[in-house]
Amino acid sequence: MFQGNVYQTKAIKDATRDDIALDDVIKAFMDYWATGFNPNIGRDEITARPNPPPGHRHVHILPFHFPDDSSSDSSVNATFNHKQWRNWASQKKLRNEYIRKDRIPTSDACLFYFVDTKRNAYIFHVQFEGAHAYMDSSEFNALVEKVSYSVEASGTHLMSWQDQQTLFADKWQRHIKP
Amino acid sequence: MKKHLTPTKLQIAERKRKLSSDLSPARIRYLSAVKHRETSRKIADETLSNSEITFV
Repeated sequence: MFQGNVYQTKAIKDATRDDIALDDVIKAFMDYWATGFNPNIGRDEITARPNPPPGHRHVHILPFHFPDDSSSDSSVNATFNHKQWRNWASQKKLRNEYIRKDRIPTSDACLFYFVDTKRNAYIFHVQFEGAHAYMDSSEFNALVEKVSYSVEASGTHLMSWQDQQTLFADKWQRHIKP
Repeated sequence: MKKHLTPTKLQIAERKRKLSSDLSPARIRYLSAVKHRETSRKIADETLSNSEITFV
């Protein structure tokens, strides 16, 4: 089990009461954050758009829809298909192998969050579809600016890019007293 | 009376058919997509409109 709590905006908390799927996504992320793996959570990476403030990340979530298998754009679908997610869910033991091969499943549905220096995660948005296009929008830009300002104004220090490379390293393991 | 019964039965059958198609997997997928699109929209709108962001 890893250290660090998961927080969500009040807007998300309120919305989980009306949308079971959103509630499931939040719970899946909490499980992933604590254990390092959940079959509904795919690739976890630094968000590159807009010019990212420190600690700004997103995870790809198991989507409701997959692109047409006959699509000619194989580069997009290499990690975004039924098979990839199915294998990911059923082959937990091979997770390190997936990481090595950079074959963790992706999707166009994402959960956006910040992480602070104590490895606490702050979920501020879930985009169920069109997540990559959304990341290019001015609205997302405004969202990131507002949330990151809010987190820093509260005295929280966001994790540096370098420290984010070891989010699931042994140093973050909870030490249970015997 | 028979003339009235026949169209009524047809109407019932038509309603059943419509109900059935309303609950088809494609229909459910469509409704789910709409629901989740609304959820994402709602979260973003509330976060942007609130003067203060609270994490819980």
